[in-house]
Amino acid sequence: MSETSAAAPPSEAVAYAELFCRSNFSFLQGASSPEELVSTAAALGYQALALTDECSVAGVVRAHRQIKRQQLPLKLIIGSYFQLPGLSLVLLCPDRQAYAELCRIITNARRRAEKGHYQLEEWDLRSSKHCLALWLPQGEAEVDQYWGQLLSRHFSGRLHLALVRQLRYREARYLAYCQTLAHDFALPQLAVGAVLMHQRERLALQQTLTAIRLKTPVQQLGRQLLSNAEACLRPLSKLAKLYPAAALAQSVTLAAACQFSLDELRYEYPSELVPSDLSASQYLQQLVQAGARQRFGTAGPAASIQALINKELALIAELRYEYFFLTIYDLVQFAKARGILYQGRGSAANSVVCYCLEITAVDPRQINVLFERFLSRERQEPPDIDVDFEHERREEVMQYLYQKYGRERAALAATVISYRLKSAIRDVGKALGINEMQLEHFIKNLNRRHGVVSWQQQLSQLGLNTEQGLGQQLVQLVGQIRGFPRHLSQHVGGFVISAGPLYELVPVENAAMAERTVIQWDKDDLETLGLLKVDVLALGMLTAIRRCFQLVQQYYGLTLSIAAINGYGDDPQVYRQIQQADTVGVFQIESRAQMSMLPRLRPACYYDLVIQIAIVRPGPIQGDMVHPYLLRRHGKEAVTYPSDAVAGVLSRTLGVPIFQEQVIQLAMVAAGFSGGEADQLRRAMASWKKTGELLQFKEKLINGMLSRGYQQDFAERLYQQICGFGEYGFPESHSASFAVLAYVSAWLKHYFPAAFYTALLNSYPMGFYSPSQLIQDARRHQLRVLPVCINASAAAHQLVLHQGDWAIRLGLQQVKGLSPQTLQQLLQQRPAAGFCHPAQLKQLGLNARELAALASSNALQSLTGDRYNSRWHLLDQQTQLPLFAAVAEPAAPLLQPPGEREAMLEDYQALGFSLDYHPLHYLRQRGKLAGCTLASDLATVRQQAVVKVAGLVTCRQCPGTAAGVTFLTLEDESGNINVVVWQGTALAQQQPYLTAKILQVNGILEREGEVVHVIAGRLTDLTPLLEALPAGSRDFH
Amino acid sequence: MRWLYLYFPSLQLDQLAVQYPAQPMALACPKRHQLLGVNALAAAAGVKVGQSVATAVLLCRELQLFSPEPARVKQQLQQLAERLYQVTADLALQPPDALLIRVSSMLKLYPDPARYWQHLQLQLADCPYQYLAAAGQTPLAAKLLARSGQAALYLTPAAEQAKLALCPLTASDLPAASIEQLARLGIRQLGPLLALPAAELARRFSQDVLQYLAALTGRVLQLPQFYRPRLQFNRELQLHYEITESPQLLKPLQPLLQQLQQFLRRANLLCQCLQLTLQFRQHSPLPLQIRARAGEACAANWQQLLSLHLAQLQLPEPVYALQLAATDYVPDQRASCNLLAQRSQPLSKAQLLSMLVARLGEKAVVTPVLSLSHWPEAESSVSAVAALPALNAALCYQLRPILQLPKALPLTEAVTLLSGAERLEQLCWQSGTLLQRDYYLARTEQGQLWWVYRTPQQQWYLQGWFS
Repeated sequence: MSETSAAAPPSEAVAYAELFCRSNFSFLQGASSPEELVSTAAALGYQALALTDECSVAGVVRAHRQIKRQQLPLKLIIGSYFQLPGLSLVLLCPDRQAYAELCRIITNARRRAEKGHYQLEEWDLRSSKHCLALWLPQGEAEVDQYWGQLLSRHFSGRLHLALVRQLRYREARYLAYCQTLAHDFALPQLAVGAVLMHQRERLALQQTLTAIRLKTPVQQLGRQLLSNAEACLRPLSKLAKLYPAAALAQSVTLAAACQFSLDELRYEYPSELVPSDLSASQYLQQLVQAGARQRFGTAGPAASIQALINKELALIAELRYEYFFLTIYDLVQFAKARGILYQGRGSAANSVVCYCLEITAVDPRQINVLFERFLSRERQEPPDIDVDFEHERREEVMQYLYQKYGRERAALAATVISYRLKSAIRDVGKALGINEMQLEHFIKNLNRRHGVVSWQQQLSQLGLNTEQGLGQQLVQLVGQIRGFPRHLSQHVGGFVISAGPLYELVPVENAAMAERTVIQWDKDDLETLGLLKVDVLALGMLTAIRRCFQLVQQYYGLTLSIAAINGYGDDPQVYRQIQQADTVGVFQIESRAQMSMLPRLRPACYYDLVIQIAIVRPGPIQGDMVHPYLLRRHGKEAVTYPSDAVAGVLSRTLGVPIFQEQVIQLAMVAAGFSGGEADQLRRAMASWKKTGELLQFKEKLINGMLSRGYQQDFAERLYQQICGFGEYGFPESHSASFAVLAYVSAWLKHYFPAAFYTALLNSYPMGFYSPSQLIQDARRHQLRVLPVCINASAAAHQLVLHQGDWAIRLGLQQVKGLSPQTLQQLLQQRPAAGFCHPAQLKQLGLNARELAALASSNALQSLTGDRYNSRWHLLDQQTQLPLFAAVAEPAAPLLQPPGEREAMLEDYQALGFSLDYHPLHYLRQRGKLAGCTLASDLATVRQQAVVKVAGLVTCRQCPGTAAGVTFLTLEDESGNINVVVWQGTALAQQQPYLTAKILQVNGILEREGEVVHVIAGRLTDLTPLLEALPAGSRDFH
Repeated sequence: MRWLYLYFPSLQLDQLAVQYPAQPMALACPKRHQLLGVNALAAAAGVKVGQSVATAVLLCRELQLFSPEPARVKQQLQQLAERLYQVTADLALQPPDALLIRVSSMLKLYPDPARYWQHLQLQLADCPYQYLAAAGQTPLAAKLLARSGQAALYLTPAAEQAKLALCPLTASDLPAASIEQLARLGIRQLGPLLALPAAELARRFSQDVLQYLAALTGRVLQLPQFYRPRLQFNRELQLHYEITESPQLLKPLQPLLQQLQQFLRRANLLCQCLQLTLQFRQHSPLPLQIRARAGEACAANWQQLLSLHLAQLQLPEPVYALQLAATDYVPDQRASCNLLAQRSQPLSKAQLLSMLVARLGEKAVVTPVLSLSHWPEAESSVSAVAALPALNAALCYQLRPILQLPKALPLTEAVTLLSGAERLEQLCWQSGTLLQRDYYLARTEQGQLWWVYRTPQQQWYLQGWFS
């Protein structure tokens, strides 16, 4: 028996370069990651691998990084695969010019089509001057003749015919046809693998991806699926059997011609930032000096600070980061000129240089800034400065960037959206043909926070047979597909700005948002290539603070700024308020978990706040560092250090690691990590959720620490803390900037509460609390809140003088369903004496829906008495006629006014809160809450007493830090009640636990310092007493 | 009592309850994953209409979910109408879940309303369905009362008015938008709505509202479309003598088949299924189903099918009576073609299949179906003719042998390989390994073309023969 194929005899010395290989960045086609592909290709002895994703280079940096990190003996070639009707083509980059050309072609093709698609045109190919082309004929003579001629003409000397051998149906016939074509057009032939997988075992996953792409269950796809696993990276010996030797040799020849490497990409900063007669370094120095005089007075900074400035500038010059600081300086100058409040943060932000450049307001005299802690020579990490702007005005800053640099030179970085557990189960399940209702059931009931039970076990508990059949396939495939990129999305605000057109550096494509473009690389890719991005982020609290400053200026005649409030020094009264956890609305320290920590940590100065903000995070909590810190802080445990080196890292946090930077430094000083390894650890932390890479560091960290004489327990806890940071990294540099805003907002709340709440309400949505909760908190601080009124309210909430005191008048913007345009129209046309009949509103031309919204909010109360009669008047079609234009008085009410219950429910539906009634007060008055203790009375209940409480469920929180515990927040008319529900209690009483809007809890009171909890026993759902109440709980966010 | 409204709130679940007693059950919308109906056991566990499926299953682990089957519910309602039609005349279907009866005309036949109601109840007694009944002066009044859950049968007009006034508008036929609008005016029951001056209402609400109120209060009379029993062929025959051999049954059946032919021709229908029920003295009746796939009206053709069925039948004891019923009608669309060809028409494919099924049984007649998998064993399968799916014309055919072995045989003859290899692979989930075969076109020494394959272990197998 003999095979008929004309393959070369097997040879040991065969050399091969794979020039057509797609990774999982060819979404739903490639079934292996760029990293897997390059590692396998290197292991198989390939000389080179061209990563040629379809109209994309999104995966190349990952491949590049993997080759460098693992020091693989493999050359990476950059290319891309394109399709047109009748044409399949791979373009490869021999040099930098070709790379720029490829980026331009991809950019043009992508920009023509909507997000996620591309549209190549013949023009793109005709205009190519540098790229090499591999042509994959279709097998249809007419079509191939057309493209053969066109390509031969435009890619003369750069065109190859690519032979694919994958043991497909009638392949011999196709290969013979290709031979003829190659002969006709005088093209060299070259072997390619058309690779989609790094190993054959990915076949099932590749077929599943096809099913997801074609939206058809895999069982129904038949011959649309790959018939075999030959589209994988195959051993050289096998390739030698399959391909003619000349075709293999040609692949190596062509690979040798491709000399371009991503290392060649040099970032060029926009030069217009620096005056022509100065160098960047000189200009930065000039600006810093001018800033220092402004910040530290004309005498200039103290010698020690000046020394620090000099040191920082030297380091910046050495690392050549001047342009980066100048770009940010330019940005904040724009914001300052426009009166947009901003605040810088990040590893490089809390330097004296940034303070002088007005990028941050953190006074270096307040915090012992060690610039090197943030910008490190040996850790080789790029500087990180994020700038937060007012959330409502960030767009202005972005538009400024686009205007200044043009759309050609500025674009957003991408964020790679990957398959997560639930999306993977949904898509793979559908592809396997599993009933969608069943899939939804699995997805809704998976508890991601479940510490003990794996998701596979959970699926099995939910009734899926994971041992065989579809269930087994689902589990295996979901495991494989997790972390696979699904599409590119825009980064929240990371801009890349370049000197020349950006599309010569990296392809740019359309984002989902109109008028937004993103590059094809994400922030890790940029970091790998040493390209800098500028983070332009949005922060609601800055909007609120700016509004509050304006109100204070307007009504109290006082000019405030963030720097000025910090300049007043630590105010004991403000800290007293913080220590009492009176922090609703205060930046960062207002959440339930933060509030319960405040009375325990008792922050009394700025740096305490920095710690407070960082300590209530998964890192320190999972590392079990909170309790030791509190003990040491209150002098109940001696502050000791295992070594001097550790003391250097941990002295400012009493020997307990709290911040992400400290953990990385500990890895260096205590476990012997090199600078490079520490940087890898930092990156692994950042992408831990996606890749699970942290495990590889565990052994090294623990062994390193043990060998240096540290306790096993301490090492284990440190590793746990690192994992916690992986879930939610929180560095000291961020905390330091946040603490400034936390203090400023607490200060405003203490001294100007009316202005503070008004500003917060006007900046909604932001923060942790709903307007309802903010208003109740304001009223608990003895502030008067006045209802929405068609004649008295402005659009926004206002500070007004009412009966000799400051009060908050709710604005018409609070009315749900009223458009901003209508609102403006309404206010412009409001008569000086106010409206006197609802008919006047109708004559303004407001539509029925908006009129109804006004009536529902009870804004027309002053005209008609109540909602029912407002609506009755508005429904009257005759009053629209001109004849009735002069109606003076509304007719006597025909309808009964709403009862207390209806009015309250309507308040909640139309405004989200009620000023007149609280649902719990209503129920209490009617004797429905017999024996329930008020929130305000819990302070007087003795420890361990049995209590009964009831309230609206405003928050269900299931923190990752405490397996199985749910924190519920109940709200009654006097305040909030913290309830702790243990898992057993929750499981036994699922219905009230999950669905109650009004909940009664019988439990035991627990007191720790000033923190009061009710440990839940019996849960009773009281929702049926007020069924129509809209749900307002933040659940399991 | 002029109109009676019978409301069956849970037809599908009630019927399922017969099949699964003591089982919490719910109907769920397959698209929105939301519950549309729940039975009492599920409700007791806190499961409610409108809940998401996920929440419901958390609340009640044993909950069994079903998709709504509107076709089945329609049939149930039809059957209920047929049942009640035995005792009452003016009856109207109110899909999806109610019947409306004009009582006033029937009361002439019954001494009093209570006696009439007893008769109706008797008809419903052995049905598994829950129902609510209410009577009213107008159809809409009766409907509103029933749908509000107000059992009201023998009320004076004044008492009826008082009860109606309390009915929630959400149970009415008013447009949902108007109900919402009225609720937002504080008007949630019929009473306050009727109390408002009509002129004021007319200035504020659409015609629909005013028309509904007029019909409800009897100012305008709207007659429903009354139920007409379905066209049916159902004949019983008492035999003059008992028959012991089944083929002899054909004789007395002939006149019945002639009647059937007449009946079908008059209505221009074909019948796809005949139900023949044989009655015995001791033995329980024996039902037989005879199918004609394409539909049939001709007595002679039916007789032929029946003779094939009866030829194999063993009678347990002599037959003394029989019943012949036609089910599954289809319109006759064979547009009376071919007037000239009077005799010896060849059998159509459908007629042939019907005959084969009649002779051999449904399971014995199967047809191959292509599934177009790469893997030869999964490439084609057989499916019962009765469940034959429509063929997909757009399938791409590859050169494969017509004759394939269900299980490949080891290759024992020397062959010459002509072309290949075509590699086919499939994942074995249990072991996680790939099954691999390299297929070749091969020629034997006798010149036959074979499809053979080789495994990675270098074993050769024969998969099929080319014709």
